[in-house]
Amino acid sequence: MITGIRLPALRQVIIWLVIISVLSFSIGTAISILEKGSYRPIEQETVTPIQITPGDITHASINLKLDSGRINISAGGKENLISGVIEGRNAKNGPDLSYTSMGKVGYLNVTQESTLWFDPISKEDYWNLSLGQDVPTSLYIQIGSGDLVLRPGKTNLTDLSVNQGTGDLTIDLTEWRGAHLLSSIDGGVGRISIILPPGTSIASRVEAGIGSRTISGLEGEEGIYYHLIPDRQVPVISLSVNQGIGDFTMKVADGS
Amino acid sequence: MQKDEYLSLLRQALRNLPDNEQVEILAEYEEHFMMGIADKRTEADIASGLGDPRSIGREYAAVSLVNHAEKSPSARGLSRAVLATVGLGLFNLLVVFIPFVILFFLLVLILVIGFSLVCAGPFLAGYAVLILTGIMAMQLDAPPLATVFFGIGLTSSGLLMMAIDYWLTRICYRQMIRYLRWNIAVITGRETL
Repeated sequence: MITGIRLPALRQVIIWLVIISVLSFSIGTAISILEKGSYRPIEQETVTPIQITPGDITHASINLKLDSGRINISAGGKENLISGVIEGRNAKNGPDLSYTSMGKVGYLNVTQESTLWFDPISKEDYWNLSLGQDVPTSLYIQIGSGDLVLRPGKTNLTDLSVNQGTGDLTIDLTEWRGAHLLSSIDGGVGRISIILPPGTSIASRVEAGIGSRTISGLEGEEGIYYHLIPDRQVPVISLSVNQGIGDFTMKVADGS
Repeated sequence: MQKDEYLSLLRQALRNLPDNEQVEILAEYEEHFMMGIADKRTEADIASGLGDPRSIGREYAAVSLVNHAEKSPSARGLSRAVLATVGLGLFNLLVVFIPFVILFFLLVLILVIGFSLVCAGPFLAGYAVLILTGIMAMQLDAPPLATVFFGIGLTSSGLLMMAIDYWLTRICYRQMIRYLRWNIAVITGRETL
């Protein structure tokens, strides 16, 4: 009497697996062809409007953190500290948003991070924000992968910190109006383009890895560039740039 | 070389063999010496006629390990047999060791790919089922129902690759043993190219 489990012969197993594989792929292909015209992938989108009024604060600290997507920051009006829309494609939730004011300083945190189960690879965010022009602002941006375009207009930025993993970065400070701007730009892989305002004393330190370097309107060499105006009253920009791979462009905008 | 020295060197060369095989081989060579002495030959003359004891030991070791690998199939046994055969001559590095390594990595590669497909299939099918049941509303480039079948197909293809890999491994094992035997026979002069 034979006891125990008897395994099928290897040849039988192979034949059955061939049959199952061929059948599965055939049925799958047939369904794909049949539903070709009617099937549309479902995209889950989140739209989060942002509008924060400055109240009586005298300084704002804005912290933006995005893992993948695109951020576009432009100049807004005087009535809002920040306004705009955050769109998330294939994201389960909108961003985490918090605003608190302590004393005369307002703290805004906007964070959008992926969750393992609900945000697949195709998740992407589009942040279109406008910065208010009235309140002196410290702006901290952290972006994992994606492009960032920062054109804050006449916003009185006092601090600017950008930390970007991959993607192109454009910072246009042509219209900047302030007394002193301390800025730090860290870019991993991607093009960096910085346009600085005329009529401003500028001191910059640039550490760029692989890629071309175009400096215009500034003097200096070997990573130290400056644009000095012999007037103690003019605004000052201190800039530190670290870049891994990509072309780097920094220039002073035309104008008096 | 005298008889004692010869047998001592031979014993040292055979040290990795099972005891009974060592005793048998040493007895055989001792008998060669006894027969030679009976024929009025000197021990040195007999020793030079028998050949280098180290080479003889290596040949016996290779044959023994190949026999062992054939009787008790295992990756370790075959590896030892291959290494022992490579030790018979530098040329075997080219004609035995390198083909063995390439073959080994090919079989491992097929196994890894098959295993990856086996793992990927349930994930793909499960993801599609979650979309079908409405738990998730994410995008897939293919219809979810079709994706379920693609997932099943991937799993069965992975299993198929693993089964074929097993079958190929058995065939390659047998052929490798035969090849090692033939190689040893050619090197020791028992067979010609």
